[in-house]
Amino acid sequence: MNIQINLNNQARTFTIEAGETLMALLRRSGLWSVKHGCETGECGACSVLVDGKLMPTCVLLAAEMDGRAVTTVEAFDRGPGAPLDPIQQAFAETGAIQCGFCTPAMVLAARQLLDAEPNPSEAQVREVLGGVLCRCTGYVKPVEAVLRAAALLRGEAVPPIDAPGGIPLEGFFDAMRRSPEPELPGPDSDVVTQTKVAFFSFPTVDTQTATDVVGRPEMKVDAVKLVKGKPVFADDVDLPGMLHAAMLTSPHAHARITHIDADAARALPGVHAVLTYEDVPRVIYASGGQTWPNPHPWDQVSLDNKVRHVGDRVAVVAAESPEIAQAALALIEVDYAVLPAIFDPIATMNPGAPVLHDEPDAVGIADVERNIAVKIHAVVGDTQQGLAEADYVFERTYHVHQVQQASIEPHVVVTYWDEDERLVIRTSTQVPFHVRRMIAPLIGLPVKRIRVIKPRIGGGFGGKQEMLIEDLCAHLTLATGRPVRFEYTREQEFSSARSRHPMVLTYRAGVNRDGTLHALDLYVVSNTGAYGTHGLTVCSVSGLRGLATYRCTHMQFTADIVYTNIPTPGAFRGYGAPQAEFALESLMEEIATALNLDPVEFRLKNAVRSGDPVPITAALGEGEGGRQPQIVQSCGLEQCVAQGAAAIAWDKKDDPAWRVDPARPYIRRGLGMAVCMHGTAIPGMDMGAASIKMNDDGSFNVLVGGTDLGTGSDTVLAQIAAETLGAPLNDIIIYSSDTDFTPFDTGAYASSTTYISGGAVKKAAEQVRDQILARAALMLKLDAVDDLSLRNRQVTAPDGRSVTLADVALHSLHVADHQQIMATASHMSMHSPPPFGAQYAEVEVDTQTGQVTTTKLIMAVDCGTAINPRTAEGQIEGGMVQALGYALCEEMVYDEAGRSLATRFGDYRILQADEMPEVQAILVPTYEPSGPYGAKAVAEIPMDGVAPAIANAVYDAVGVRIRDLPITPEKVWKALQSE
Amino acid sequence: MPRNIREFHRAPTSARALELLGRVATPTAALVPGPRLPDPLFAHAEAVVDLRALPLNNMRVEKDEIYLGALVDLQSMVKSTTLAAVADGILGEAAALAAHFGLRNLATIAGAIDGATDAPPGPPEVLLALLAMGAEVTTLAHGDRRTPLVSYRPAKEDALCEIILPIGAPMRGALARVARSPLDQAIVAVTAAITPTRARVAVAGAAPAAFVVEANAGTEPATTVAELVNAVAAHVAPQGDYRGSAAYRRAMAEVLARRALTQAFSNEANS
Repeated sequence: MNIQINLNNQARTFTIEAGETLMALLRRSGLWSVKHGCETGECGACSVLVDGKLMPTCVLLAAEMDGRAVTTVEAFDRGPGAPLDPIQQAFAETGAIQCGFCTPAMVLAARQLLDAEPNPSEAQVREVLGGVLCRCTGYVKPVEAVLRAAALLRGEAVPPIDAPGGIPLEGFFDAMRRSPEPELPGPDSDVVTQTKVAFFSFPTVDTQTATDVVGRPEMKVDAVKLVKGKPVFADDVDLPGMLHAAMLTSPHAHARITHIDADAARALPGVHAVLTYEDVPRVIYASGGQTWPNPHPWDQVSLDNKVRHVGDRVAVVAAESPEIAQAALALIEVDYAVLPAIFDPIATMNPGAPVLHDEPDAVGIADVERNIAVKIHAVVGDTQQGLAEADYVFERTYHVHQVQQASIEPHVVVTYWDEDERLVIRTSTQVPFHVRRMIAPLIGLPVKRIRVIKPRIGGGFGGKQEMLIEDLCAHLTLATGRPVRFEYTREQEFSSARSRHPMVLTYRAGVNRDGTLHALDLYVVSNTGAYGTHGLTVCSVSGLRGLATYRCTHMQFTADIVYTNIPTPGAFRGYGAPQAEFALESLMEEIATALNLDPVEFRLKNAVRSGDPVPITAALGEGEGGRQPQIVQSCGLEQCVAQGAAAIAWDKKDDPAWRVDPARPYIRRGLGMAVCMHGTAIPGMDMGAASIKMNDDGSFNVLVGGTDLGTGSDTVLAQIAAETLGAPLNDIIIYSSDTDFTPFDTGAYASSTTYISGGAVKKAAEQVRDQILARAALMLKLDAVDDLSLRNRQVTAPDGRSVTLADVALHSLHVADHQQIMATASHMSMHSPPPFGAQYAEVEVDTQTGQVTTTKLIMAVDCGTAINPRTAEGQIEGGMVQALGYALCEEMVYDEAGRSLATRFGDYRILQADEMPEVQAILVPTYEPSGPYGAKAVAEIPMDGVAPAIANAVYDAVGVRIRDLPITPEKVWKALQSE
Repeated sequence: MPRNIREFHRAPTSARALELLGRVATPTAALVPGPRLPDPLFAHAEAVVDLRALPLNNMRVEKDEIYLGALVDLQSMVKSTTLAAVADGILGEAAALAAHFGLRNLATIAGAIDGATDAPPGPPEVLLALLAMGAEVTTLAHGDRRTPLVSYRPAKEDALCEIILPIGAPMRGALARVARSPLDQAIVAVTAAITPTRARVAVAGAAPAAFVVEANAGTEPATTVAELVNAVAAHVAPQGDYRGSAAYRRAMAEVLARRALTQAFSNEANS
């Protein structure tokens, strides 16, 4: 049928199918700003304006649009280099864009509001932004953006975004860099007796000599293309002859495939390939995107004759359209011999429990019969002795649940042969280099015949630290010779992607009468679901984070990582730390309460400080081996605690009038807090590299293997390069990442990018800088470079003469001693400097229903130097909101047969803009001597403290202790009933 | 949107719409979007009928009644000053709770009713508010015959036409709910509406379908509240799920009924 639409102010006629969605029509028409995030209209990423009203297009039929006006953000694009539309400008300037996947829809929501209401309230802004789920920002900066846009549109002056900032000049940092870094003890040394090292405090910033780029809230380098909705994501391509993949998944939690017949599916016109376990090589692997060799167990194959959870892979199809692919799936006949399933992580270890991995070729499973994938045991001192010596012993068990990363962009990959008959994999991944290495044996191609392109990523949060679907798509391209596109549905994201490990954590703590922690024993049962993937490493981090924050003489960590028939957990922002921190910070509060100690003072009395060793790091690494003893070299924890307390008005805990609401007598208010200590990268393992070359005009190409998954790391890395090279940020052209062109990087995980990849960028930039200074000395006829300065695009000699970077570039490329000024550098660190944080929460508890409403979340974070304070704030704000969902309302739940009960947004509750508490991020600057410009991590620590802070606030409000996440109304109500 | 839709029709008249919806050989569903999409009806439909050409998208006040066309969108209800003036605005409040902003621009009052009637997965507050306010409905097939909303059941071969709210007597109202987050779908939700002569409570999440209890309101408020809370307790037959167990839902029905009624009477006392 034909329809006519006024599309972006142009009359257009389209030929459509009756069942075609508006989203499909717009995307096949090249309007790539319309994003697929779900199929139920609940994420809002596909929203456009229909007759001026924001509507999700995945639930609208294109046929309904006949005679109507449809507007996408492409309508506001004034062309290359032209000023942005004021709304888009405000989004770019305020840091409202992280991954940018939902940004076009947010811009349109703002457009509808501001067309009707030039001077909106914050509540009105939140209402319209409520139509678009954002998993990155916590909505703080998008709200700021819309209010700023309103002011711009009213013609009002707005404050500049490049507020005063910066940190002391490079000379200071050069001195720091050249200082010998503290020597770390070897794995077998007694770190407790390690000699204290020298420490650096953060100096006062002199605005006259501050850095030009580092430490300033620069606009993200990718902001413009993201806010314009440019085709920058993996799925924003339409290759000639591209086929569409679909995956048949298991309806059973545990079954053996006794017969599979795909003949009818293969015979369906338009179907080009159907692959089952009979069609692909059986190669054992582990899908977690990790450094070689991947940690054990290796317990997966691309397609198996056994399924181990509802949603497990059974077959894949490539067809000429998504509709034909779906139809083909329905024609595949599968006979299952259904096996008993097990979901309980404790019962799965019992004799007689169904054995998940009875295949003979799995490698490295700790105890097949007991479904134990991995066991961990790490000891510092003698915990039994320590507990016996302690004046008090506390034992508590905490339960944490399974939640999903729920990035708004689903997993999506496009594979094709290039003109050199090399396989190109364009994929939304955090780990392009790991994907290239890991997929090679599965598809039978050498690494050199594989190229992985990582475009922009629409959110990852760990879920894309996995070689999840690339192998299946590649197999289909190998089978057909055609480009193939494979994207998960939202339901498949919940049933067939990764998630956070549910755990049962039992602490035993020995405490002396004076409030000193003397012994800590932590036993964890971690449920790794059907496959091991990140099971070992996530749980290792639980042990590291659960036993690092507080000084303690005797510590022990024991873990059983077990298989069950739930969908497989994997990496998720925080990576085992949120689980452990919930238990630890609840425990600390319980101990303080029991001993009548001030909980904050009790924590600070025992918390590690600058100069302290972290003994557990000598006994426990992240994965197999990898133990690397650490010493804290920078710590702003006390300042974090103080600033957070001031911001939330901690003293009002003591005001009885504040605790009640006369208008709602059933409400009680409470405050809670938690302290957090995370890590920065995996010491001795994570490596990043960068290449920098200088162009004729004095600009620089920076190529990094690190993957910006929306965090702003490209911007941060470009700022480090710009600062070091004496150039403004817009002279840096940064690109990440493509395994053919960018140097290796382990990938975006473990809070490593600023620290590791940034270290590589700084090293490479310093080498380029040295070449520039040498060239300038040649041009200025100077014998030495020592007194030359490089700043503001020019090299200046002590006598005042100068040459510009463009002069230097032209001279080196075209005039004399011809040379391409360029360098490549790698960086790895044996340090893993911990960022610290203090998380505060204010709640209202309904004593009649048990509902907990969070009214304020404030986190003060010491991330060393915030290379870009605005993106750092965004990380904290967004992380806190993800963590709030973890605490209260997000939960993967199943029926008795293992079928997911929350297969869509809504049922799986992601918080909206119009139901948010007040969220505030505070940056507490310190200087980390091992990091580039003093930086350490910020991305993951905001996940760690919210759940315990809320649990502690609930206790403060109504006196009940919830040890089982999420803190649902019913759990609180039941606890109140039992009081 | 399911891929089984092969025909798209625009109905110029109610008669044509009914003709299409009544087809047996080609299962056909009306495009009446609710807050929870896609409409389950679409899973079994091969054709859809767009009703936008019919005069179903307006809101008007006549005499002592408000007429809401079946295709009035939820966001218009949120913003309506007319609705805000009735029963302390519980219908607009309910519409705001039904879905996020973008879906409210798309979803209709009829879709909200159809999606929450019987054993629904959809958000219940719009239905509850209408039930408590004593709404009546007409359908395309029976445009001149009013049916109390409490008796209405969606039929595949028909579609809602209008929803009629009585406003002849002053009405106060309140809505109470419990959920995992402020805008999450309610575990249990209750609306109360009182006029000088009647008090009515509608409850969802505590029985297989939403239900209504009512009583005379001429006595002391406390007496009426107690009577209705007892009536709610007598009607509850909850089924537990991951959001809340049966026991919890049972308890919450009483708590929230008392809260909503008390609030509604308080509003009346303060008016």
